[in-house]
Amino acid sequence: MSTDYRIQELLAVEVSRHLIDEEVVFIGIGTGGPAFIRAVGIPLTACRLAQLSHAPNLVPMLGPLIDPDLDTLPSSLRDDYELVHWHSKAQIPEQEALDVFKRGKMGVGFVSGAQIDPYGNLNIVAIGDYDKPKVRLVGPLAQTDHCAFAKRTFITMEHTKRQFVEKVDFISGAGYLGGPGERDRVGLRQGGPGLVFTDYCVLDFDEKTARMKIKSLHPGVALETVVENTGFELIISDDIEVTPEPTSTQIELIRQRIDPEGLLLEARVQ
Amino acid sequence: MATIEIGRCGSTGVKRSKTTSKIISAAEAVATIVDGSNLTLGGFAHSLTPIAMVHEMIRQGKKDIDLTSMGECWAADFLAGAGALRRARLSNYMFEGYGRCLNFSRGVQEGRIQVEDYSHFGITSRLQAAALGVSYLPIKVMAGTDILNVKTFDEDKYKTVQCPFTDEEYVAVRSIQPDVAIIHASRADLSGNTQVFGASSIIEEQARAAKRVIVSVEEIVSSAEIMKKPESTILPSFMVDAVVEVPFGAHPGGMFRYYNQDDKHIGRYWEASRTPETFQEYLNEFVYGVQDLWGYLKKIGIRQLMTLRADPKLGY
Repeated sequence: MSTDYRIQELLAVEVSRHLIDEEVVFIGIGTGGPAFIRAVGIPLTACRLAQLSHAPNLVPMLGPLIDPDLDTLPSSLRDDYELVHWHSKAQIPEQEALDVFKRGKMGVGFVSGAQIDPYGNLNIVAIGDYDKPKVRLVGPLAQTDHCAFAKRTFITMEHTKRQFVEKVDFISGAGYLGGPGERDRVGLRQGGPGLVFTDYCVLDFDEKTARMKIKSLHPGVALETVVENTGFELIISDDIEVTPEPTSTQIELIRQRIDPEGLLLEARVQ
Repeated sequence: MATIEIGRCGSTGVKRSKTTSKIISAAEAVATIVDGSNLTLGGFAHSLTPIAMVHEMIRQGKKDIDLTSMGECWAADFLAGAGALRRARLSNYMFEGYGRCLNFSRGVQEGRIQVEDYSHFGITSRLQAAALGVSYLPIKVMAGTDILNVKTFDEDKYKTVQCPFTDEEYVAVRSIQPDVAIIHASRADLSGNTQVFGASSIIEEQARAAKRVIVSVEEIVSSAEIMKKPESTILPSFMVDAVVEVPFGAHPGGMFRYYNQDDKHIGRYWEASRTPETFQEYLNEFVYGVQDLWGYLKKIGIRQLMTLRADPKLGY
């Protein structure tokens, strides 16, 4: 066991454990700073870790780019334009990328948001009133589409009461909507939120109520910390695990091979 | 230049001889756009944005523009900052690498710009319906979300329909036909056969959906040159009404195989967009303060443009 690791390394390793070989994994791009680390840095590091261990044929998709060579990162991953140079198996028009979702070919869609509710519904459109919002956000992007079509979504979130709210101001990505059976009722026959990853814990969803439940606490994090930073009641079972620490081999892989320049986990720009 | 008349061949009954050129200037092309038009502008975020055409629209003082696009938020932000944007139907307002589109966000927060949100697939389906010539398309996405629940300016944007074969329920989105598509591409010939190198986002659907198509290109080439690489032609001539030649016309964005994006200038734009005052200064310097694209490029400077220029020998 390694004792010296950063939270984003722990999260990348934890996410990678849940990726399945041969699955298509969608990662959206475009943000900067801490949001970039959550939306792109951690997911992409996790994909490469999975490819180098249990999932050699995992297929990452970044916007219109399919299966890029993750050993040679472009100078910037914050911008669609930079991807045009990246060695990859395919670059397809956006409409065809969306068709990949429709056909149910997407295993995991990575999503994030400014707000999330107990049923995993997400908001990236507006804080406050829709017509005259307090803060206008970036818009639904393809997140609505991931939430509808991916076999499951992995949600990476900042964990405070501002983000974890009883009711989101605007549902732009469908979680379990109002509860069990609701997705089916509106015609979303499959999918739904799988896991939520934060700096404190990993959460999943209770099968009976479709509400968020603590799956594991990161090493050294107290249950009270999670409860205090969540704006709704979480399901707390008596079999909460501890998120495994990364091994020294995994840390070495991340620092020496996958992300030596800190492009992914520190959002550096070359 | 043989004609500045714009009208799709075949649909307008205007006869063209084979040698008719569709090339007009940016100013002439933009002058055909009337205030209050519903436009669709090509590109996604910093890629393939028709910046030179957007500059010209702002210089000509276009007003009350409706935008119906997927990812073309840079144009939305530019027009918002210049007070030219009235309504927007897009799915993406992320200023890539920085965060939100600040001019646009401010306009929405202050109630000056009306917005109707869509997912990528939702808005492209409305455009695709128009491109296919059908009045609606059944889709699955956006069901259950507030994108459908909130009332917006297009009251008739969707209905729920039942499949006549399986009884399954779908969201039916109504087709939407923008008045004009403005597409920035790599190169075209005189008659408008248009090629793009690299990723094309959804510009084919946008062009097929619109009533008129104006293409701006990095360079005009001969038809013989176009025919050497037919696989790169995304719009055949009969889909294009006018062609405008604007070298470095996507700057500070990049154009694959022509020039790299100007990261420093993109950063400068975003910093300027933090307040209405600083953005006005930016517009004064780079848009109102110059007569046309050439004036703008002179301001950017030959040295900088040469630094950005792609070098085929080096691969880039």
